[in-house]
Formats: sequence, structure tokens, C-alpha cells
Amino acid sequence: MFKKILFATSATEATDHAARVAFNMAQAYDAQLFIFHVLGVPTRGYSQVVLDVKTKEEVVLDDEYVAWVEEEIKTHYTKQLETAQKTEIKVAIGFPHREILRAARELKPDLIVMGGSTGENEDSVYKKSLVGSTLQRVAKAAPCPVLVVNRPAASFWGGMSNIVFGTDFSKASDAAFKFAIKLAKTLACELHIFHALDIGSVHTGRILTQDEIETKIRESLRRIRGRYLPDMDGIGDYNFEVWEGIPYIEVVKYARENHADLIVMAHHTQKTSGEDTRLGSNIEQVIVRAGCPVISINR
Amino acid sequence: MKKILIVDDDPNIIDYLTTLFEDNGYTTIAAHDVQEGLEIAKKEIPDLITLDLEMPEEWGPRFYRKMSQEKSLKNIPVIVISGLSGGDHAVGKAVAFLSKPFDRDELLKIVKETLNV
Amino acid sequence: MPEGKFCNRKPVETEEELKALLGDTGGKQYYEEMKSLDVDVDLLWKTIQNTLKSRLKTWLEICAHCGMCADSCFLYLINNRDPHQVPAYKIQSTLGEIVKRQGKVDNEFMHMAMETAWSKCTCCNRCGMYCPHGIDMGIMFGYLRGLLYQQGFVPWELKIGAGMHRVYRAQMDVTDEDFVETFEWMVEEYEEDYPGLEVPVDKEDADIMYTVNAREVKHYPEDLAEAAILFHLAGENWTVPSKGWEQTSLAMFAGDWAACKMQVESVYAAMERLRPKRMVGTECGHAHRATVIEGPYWAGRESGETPVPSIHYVEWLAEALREGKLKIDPSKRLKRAVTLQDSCNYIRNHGLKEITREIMSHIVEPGYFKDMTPNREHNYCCGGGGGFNGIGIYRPQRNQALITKRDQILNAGADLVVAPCHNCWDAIRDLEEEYKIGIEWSFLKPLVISMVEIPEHLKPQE
Repeated sequence: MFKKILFATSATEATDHAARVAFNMAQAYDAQLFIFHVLGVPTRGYSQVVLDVKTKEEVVLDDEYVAWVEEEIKTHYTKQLETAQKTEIKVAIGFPHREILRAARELKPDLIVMGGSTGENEDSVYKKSLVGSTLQRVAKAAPCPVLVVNRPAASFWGGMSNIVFGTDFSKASDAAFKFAIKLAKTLACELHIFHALDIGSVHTGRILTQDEIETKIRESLRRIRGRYLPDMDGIGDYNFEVWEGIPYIEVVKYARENHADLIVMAHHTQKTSGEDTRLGSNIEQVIVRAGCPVISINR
Repeated sequence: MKKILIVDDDPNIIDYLTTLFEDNGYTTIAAHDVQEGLEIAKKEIPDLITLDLEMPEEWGPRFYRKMSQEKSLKNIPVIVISGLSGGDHAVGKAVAFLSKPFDRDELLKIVKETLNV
Repeated sequence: MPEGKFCNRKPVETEEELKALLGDTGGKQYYEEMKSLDVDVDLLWKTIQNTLKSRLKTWLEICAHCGMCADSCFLYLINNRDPHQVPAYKIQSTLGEIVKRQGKVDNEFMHMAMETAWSKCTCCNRCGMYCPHGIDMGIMFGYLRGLLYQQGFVPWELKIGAGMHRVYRAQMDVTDEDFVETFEWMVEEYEEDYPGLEVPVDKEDADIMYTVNAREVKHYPEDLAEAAILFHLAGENWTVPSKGWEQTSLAMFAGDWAACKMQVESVYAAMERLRPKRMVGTECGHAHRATVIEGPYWAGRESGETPVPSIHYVEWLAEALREGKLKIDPSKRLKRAVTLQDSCNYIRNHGLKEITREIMSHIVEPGYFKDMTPNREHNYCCGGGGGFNGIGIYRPQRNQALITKRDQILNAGADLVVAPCHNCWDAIRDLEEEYKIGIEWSFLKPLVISMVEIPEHLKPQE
């Protein structure tokens, strides 16, 4: 199912947990692994000066420098590269999200693997744009599923037998469902279909009674059956569940309780307004908090 | 006497922990992988399990998952002992996490507290 | 000493020469060779005799040394009112001297002239407004740069830049294929959000032919997508040329007039080939100046006009907003202290000061717009104009120059700067990096997209 994997890395400890998953998967699926690193951000107008992301120094780019960076990457992953079969290191200059997308367009991977956002570092050379972080922008526009391993705790994986598919019954979720089904069938996994009933009063206008909530739960379960069951031939082990609460928290909890190896969700294209961009959408919070990798599907 | 199951693919670790625990009044049993660990656990029902994370076939978290689906095993306390960085939340419900190399006194302290002896 | 391998009087004309010069990291060998580069005195004087015409001659002669230009120059003000930074002094001590000595100047002099021309003047033309005689020293520095370039005394990055235009007809190594491919890629990426989005390439007789900045293709392709989206939402009949799509001109900053001519001719050829009703350029100041204002003269067009009427992006945007082709959702207007950068090249030099303010009135909630002081045609250069932004050896001087803009922004009390010009945008980004005053900055396109109403028939079907 995954023949080509594009692993976007900072080649530092910060992305080691994502590396663990990437190398693991490449081995498990005998996939070709592209280790992709954006070494610098162009700066200074039209000049050839580039700001190296690790050293934070300005460097003028030449073949020697690129080769040196590639060597450094090889060194950082020495252990993994000993056993990994089909790997290739690619280095680029530019804005990370753009270069990752460019590489994805060129290499046509089946999956992009990334670590979580590098955060609000004061001295980070990636200046957070008005529009969003690298992760947000790649997840939105990627031509293939994006697997995000946000925190070390989400990387102790070593196998896939349990998938949680989170849905909000949108068309975007339908696309994510297709992927989850395909994955579950190919790998003969248990598939959990989970819907979080949003009970925040912002959404419903008032606080619901417990009876009302449980009625809605029952409705949602019926909806899951109606919408997804018809396409589930060949899936042996499955489970439907609806919990009430704040969506991203419920998804994370459900996945944790059920020892999920993977969460699959749709990436919503609705733009986050200026207001609360800290939180981002539900999927972004799930990515940040999940105890397992999260795959985001946008088409 | 309380029984401790050691699950780790590294025979050196198993030896070390076996000696450590037995010197301190516990009996021990050992397993080298998840499969073996589950079989032994079901048979012996240990009072505590120490669990390694990264093993050649299945990893520690999968042991924990399967264990928690067994009525007889699900409540046995687990201490994760692993050399992998960032592993402290890999098994969420573990009673403790120790990274290798670990402090033997700290480990003994946690075991004592957990088993009340 | 004969001319060097990298530093010489020959322009860079081939890809190999470009790569070789680029390989000389930071221009190390280039500047080393420059220390022993001879001045071709005969060529210099001959060129002056052929090209220094009555306007510049008059300007050099009638300077009354009154010093009124001093306070008008932001570099004079920010450098502690150093007398050597008085515009009249700067030009008289360089071009004036060369003419007086009939070209008999030496290597050391030319080094001084190079430093003056490229680190003590950004060709912002502000002095020309304050001089009682209307002497425009910015224009004279443009002329001087031409002489210096011809002699080989030009900053490394600009020799490369001019070379890029000669080889690629673009300011960076972006080919025509790269351009079209990237534009199409961007459209694909945004198609789902904007069904029907497309980029018509080489469409004949369209209403608008759009030209860009090669940097957008290489580093900020989102800008291309945004342009396409806005044209799409406005219902424009537009196109891009597969050849002649680059509006900018580093050659102009370098003083390489021959390359300037080649560059604009490629764009004019596209206009003639595709016969659009108008050409609209991207948000860039010097590109507009190069291709629309000065270009026709470089290309020998006596009318001083481009083959088809050409307008700056802000003119198109203001018109689209005015005519209702683009409608803004009032609830999404900017409700934060925002200011506007008046870019020298199309505000002071092309009078579009009210057009940009018209746009601001659509996109900013009343009461939140904080104009800089001074503003409009009296605004100061961003600090990075005329190529200043990219020249490594003059970085410290450029960073000093940024202080003027920094203080203007702080005094305006704004935390967002709208900068519809690539150079200004870069300079403001750099000033934030250098001085960390906590501001954000943006082109117009992304802001407008965040608040524009999507017509019903163009909305994605759920």
C-alpha cells in the first residue's frame, strides 16, 4: 500500500520520533524512503544568501555545502540506514512547506511523514506566516495522505492492527473513510469508527440534558451504520462508537483506551480565522495530543 | 514472596534484573518477547511486570495492549524500562517509566511502593 | 592589471559564467580582483560624451549647493547628518568629478563611486522633489551606475543579477517551463477551494496579461495562486505569457542598460504577440518602474509607452473594488492598527498614492488605518530600494537605513504593515528580524482573499 514514503525531517533530535515511525514503515512495507530536508531559508532579497536552519548562520549556497549537509543527515541516521534498504536523501532550499509540497509533486509518494510543528521558538528561522505553520500548510495541500507523529509518545508503534477513523459526517470525512477502509482491508486491521458529539454550548446554543445527549448519540450511531456499513465488506473486526464531549479530546481518549495504532481523519479546509488560531481545527489538536500517529486526508 | 515478570529481548538486562530482584527478596520469571511474555504471564500471574519498549518483533506497547484485554492480567502493574528517548508516555497506564541506564535504587523503591513489600 | 576572471568589463552572458561567478562564495575572489581592476579611461570618457545629455549636464552645473536636498535624504538623516551623505555632495563627488576630470579617474576613485552609488543612494528620488531646481540625484545615480557597471565596478550580486536577466530573461534561474509549471501547480492546489480556477497561458486578445516577479515562482508560489484566485473571483478574462512573463529588472539596479533593454523587450514582445487590452503587473515597485515607466525608453519607443496600456497591480485592485468586481465582506475587514508603505517607485514616481489609500478604505475597518509620517510622495524609502536589500558587502549600511522605516512604523503605532512591493516587503521583514519590534507585514493579495466574498456560482458545491 505504501510504495514510496516521503519523510520530511529536520534531521535533529526534534524529529527523531517521526523518524522512528518513518523507518519502521519503510521496512514494514518494503517502501522506498525519501529523507527530505530543507536546509535553509532564502533571505536577503534576490541575493544567493540562505539562512541555515540549524546553525542559524547565513551561508552562501554551493555544491560543497549541500554535500556537507547530506553527509550530516547520513550521520544522524547512521543506525537506521544500516538496516534500511531503499533510501535516498534529498536536500532543498526554500520555505519548508513549499519545498515539501514541491518534492511531493515531483516524487509522487503514497505517504508523507512529518513530525509536529516546531513550535513558537523565538529564534526559529521559520517565521510563522499569517497563514499557518508548515504542518498546517502541508496537510492542507498535500497530494497524498500526511502522517504526523507529533510527540515521542506517539511513535512507539512497531505495527498496525488497530485503526481509529474519526468522522464528522462531512464529505471530507467520506474521503478519509475510503482511505481508512483500504488501509484496514490491506493490513487486516481492526477498524473503529468514532464520532464525537460536540456538546459545547457554543454549538448547540444552550446546555443539553443528558437524555437529549443520549438521543443524539443513538442518532449518530444510526448515521454511522447507514453511511459506512455498506462499504465495509471484508472488514472482520470493527466497532462503532459515539461519545459526547469536546471533539478533539474525545477522539484522543477513545484512541488511547482502545490502544489505537493509528488515527485517520479528514483535514478540514476551513480557514482558521484570526481569532483563535492557537487551537486550529480539531484535527490539529488531535495531532498535537494523540498517543499514536495521525493520518490526515485532504482529498 | 512477590513474583516479578521481566520482559526484555536483551539477555544482559534480564540477568541484571533477575539478580537485582532476587537479591531483594522477590522471585523472578523472564521472557524475551511479547509472545513469550504473554504465555508466561497467563500461566504464572506475576505481581508486577517490567517491560522493555523496543523489541525485535512486537514492541512493548503491544504487549501491554494484549495484556489489558486479559481479565487475569489487566490489573497487574507495569514498569516500563527502556533506552528509547521520549518513551515515558508510550504506555500511558504504566505505574512508572525508567530510562536505561537506570538507578537501581530508584527501581527498587518504585517496586517496593507498588507491591507494598 | 588586466581584467580578472570574475571582475571585469564583460557582462555575464552564459549559464556557465553565471554558475562560475555564483560559485565564488560571497564574491570573495571577485572583490579581490576588483582591487586591481584598471579604469578604461578612454571608454569612460567616450561613453560620457555620447550619453551625458543636456539634462544631466545642466543638473551637474546648476547645483546651487544650497543644501536643501540634505534633509530630504533619509540616508543623510539616519547617518547622523554626515555631510558626506548630502545628495548634492554624493553626486558631485562622483559623477561630477568624473565629468570634471574627463574620465581620468583611478581604481580607488571608482571603489568610492561604487560604494556611493550602491550604498549611499537607493534611487528613491526624494531629493528631486525638494531641490529648488528639481535636480533629481536619484536619476543621476542611475546614470552613474551605468558607467560603473560598464567599467566592471559593480557589486557582485548585481553582476549576477544582470547576468540572470541576460541568460534567463528573469532575475533568477527560472525558466519559462518552470514558470508555467509552477503556475499550473498552484492552480491545481487551490482548485478544490475555487472550482473552475485555471491559468490561461498564451491566450490571445484577453483583457489582461499578467506579469510577475520571478521570486514568486521560485519561493512564494502562493502569490501566483492568489493572483489567479482574485482574477477568477473578479471574473476577469486574463492570461499569462509563456515567454516574457518577468516584470522585474535587477539589470536596472545594476546599471546594465543593454540587459534592461533585452528584458523589457521580451515583455513587450509578449504584449505584441498576445494583444491583451492591458498588462497588469504584480505587487512590485521597481518592476513597474522598469517595465512600464523607463522600459519604453530603453527599448527606443519614442512614445514612452508600452505596446499596450500597462498598470500596476494596485490600480487593477482598486478598480476591481471600486467597480464591485470584488466585494469585501465588511465583517472581515482588518480591525487592527495597520499602516501602509508608500513604495517610491509607483507612489512618488508614478502618482498612485490615492489609489492605494482607496484600497485601504475597502479593507480596513474605519479608525484602524494609521498612516505613516511622512507619507504619500513624501514617504521615505523602505531602506532596501535600488538593490540595497541584496548586496552583502553593504549589509551594515542597509541595516542602518532600515531604522528610518522602523521608526516610522513605530510612530504610526501599527503592528501590521501593508507593503504592496517585493522590495519593501523584504526590507520590512528584515527590519523585524533585525530590530524585533513585533510587527507583521503582508502583500495585498492574501489580505483581500481573506475577506473577499465568493460569488455564489463560484463557491465549492458541498
